[in-house]
Amino acid sequence: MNIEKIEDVIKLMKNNGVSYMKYKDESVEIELDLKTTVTESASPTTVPANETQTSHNSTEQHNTIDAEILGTFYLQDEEQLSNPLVKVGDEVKKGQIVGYIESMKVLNEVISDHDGVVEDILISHGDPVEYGQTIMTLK
Amino acid sequence: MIKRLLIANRGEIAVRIIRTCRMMNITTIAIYSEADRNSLHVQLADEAICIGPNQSAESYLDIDRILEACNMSKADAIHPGYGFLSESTTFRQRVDEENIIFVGPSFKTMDLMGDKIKARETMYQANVPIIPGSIGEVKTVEEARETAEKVGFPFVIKAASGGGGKGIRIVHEASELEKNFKEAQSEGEKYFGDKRVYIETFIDKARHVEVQVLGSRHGEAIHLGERDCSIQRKNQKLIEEAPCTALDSKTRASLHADAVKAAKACNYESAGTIEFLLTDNGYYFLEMNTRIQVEHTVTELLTGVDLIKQQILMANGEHLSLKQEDIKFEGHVIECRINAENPEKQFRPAAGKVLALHLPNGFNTRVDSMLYDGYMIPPYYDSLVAKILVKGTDRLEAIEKMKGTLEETVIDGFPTTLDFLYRVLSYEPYINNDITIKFLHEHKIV
Repeated sequence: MNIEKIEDVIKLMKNNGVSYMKYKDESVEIELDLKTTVTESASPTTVPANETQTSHNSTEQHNTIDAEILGTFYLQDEEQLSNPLVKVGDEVKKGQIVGYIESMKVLNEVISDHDGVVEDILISHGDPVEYGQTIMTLK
Repeated sequence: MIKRLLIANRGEIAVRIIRTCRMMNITTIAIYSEADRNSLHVQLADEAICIGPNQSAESYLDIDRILEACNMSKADAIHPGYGFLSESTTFRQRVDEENIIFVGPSFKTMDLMGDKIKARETMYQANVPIIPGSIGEVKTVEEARETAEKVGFPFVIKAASGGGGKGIRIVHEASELEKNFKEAQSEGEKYFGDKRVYIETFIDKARHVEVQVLGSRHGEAIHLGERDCSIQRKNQKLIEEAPCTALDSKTRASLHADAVKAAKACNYESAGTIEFLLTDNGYYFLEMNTRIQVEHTVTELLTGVDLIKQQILMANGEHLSLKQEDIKFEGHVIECRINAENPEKQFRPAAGKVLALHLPNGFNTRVDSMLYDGYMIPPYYDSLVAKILVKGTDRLEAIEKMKGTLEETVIDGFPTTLDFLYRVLSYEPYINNDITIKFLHEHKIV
């Protein structure tokens, strides 16, 4: 992959409104992020800088913890809720267990992928959760 | 009685099952992968549960997730559709263990017919003609040699659990026998964990003719006539029709009777299909499909019997209320499978967004599809997007009618098999019914 080819790829991305791509094979790996310069191919110069800024910020501020399996969500490993692993306002660390999903009679740990503070818990203790559903939001 | 049915499938067949359930006052529960969030079956079902990511292995093929979805939704029954887990004996057994009704045959039947050696033995004992070859497993090269002397060259060595072209070897002369025998064994072992093989004579020119059967757990069984599915590409059927006009009435009656014998021999309960190869010398049992098939619609349009409804009634344990003499065969039905594929590029599957859509309609016309305007076809699954069927008074009228129907159809946004199928229907050898399973390989119609 030489500089001309990379230019071609950037042109292709711009023409198709693609802002991010990653490519990898045996010999090369490239990652292109045009987010801050172009979002609309038709009029790249008129994109307000603060708009992309805020959307960028908001994704950083509101991380979510999503269900990676379907089943019943629990905030502690007992059916009676007496001592939940986390409450709104608690600080959580990346890798921390914040709950369990029981699927086919097996308890699966729900782990936070981010550091943050629990902003909201959307699924109640003992409620069903689908794959991909947001359980908690963090700020 | 089934009240809440979970459909462990997607696409047009899930939509098809939902439609019958609505009529029967059964609550439907759809499952879906993330890629299918906007699919029609999700929107039409009464309830829907996302069970996993795009990959089938972690969604539509994940037994634990599907059974958990049953728990969560309190489903009392599962319809497996076709493909995915529909013929998995492991799945079948787990469904039993969870005390959920399976809309399909018993574990024992599926286990018996899924094993090609046991299926052949069962048919042989029931006096249903099987392809000449070994009865049971061929264990050694010596045994293979003895069988070869009886059936003659060329013949085929097949793995008992084989499929999709894996574990099959054609033997043209004695010198190839040992090598091919061992290859078929090891391929069976490698892909299916089963090294048992058997031998069949090599049949090159034949039609693929299958008989739809319906059985109950009370030992009742009837047939709903045959379908000719010879127009295939790499074992994928593209056009199916009924009746098979190459059969004389005597052979047809005997074929139907043998199919009912076959269904009874394996205690078949539900809708199923007995596949045969039809040659100039007769017909031979090929295998049984222990599930609803894509082309069940051909039989439905011909006979007026709702096969999904019958499956649900059989799963409820009811007696077969249809008698053989109730089944009437009038006219000729043709089905075209519209796949999102590019025929000019070796039928490479194509995904994309539906930009314009007009599905045909008319007298004795049926369309089963999950397409809607703006629908985005995900690239992860089957390429079948619509089945278009017509019924005419005879084969020639049905061909003409199908051509008109395809002309009316608009599916824009990705390549489809639509124009290719039109060319097949306009092609003289097809019109003259000069067809075998090799048809699309011998005639370059693209």
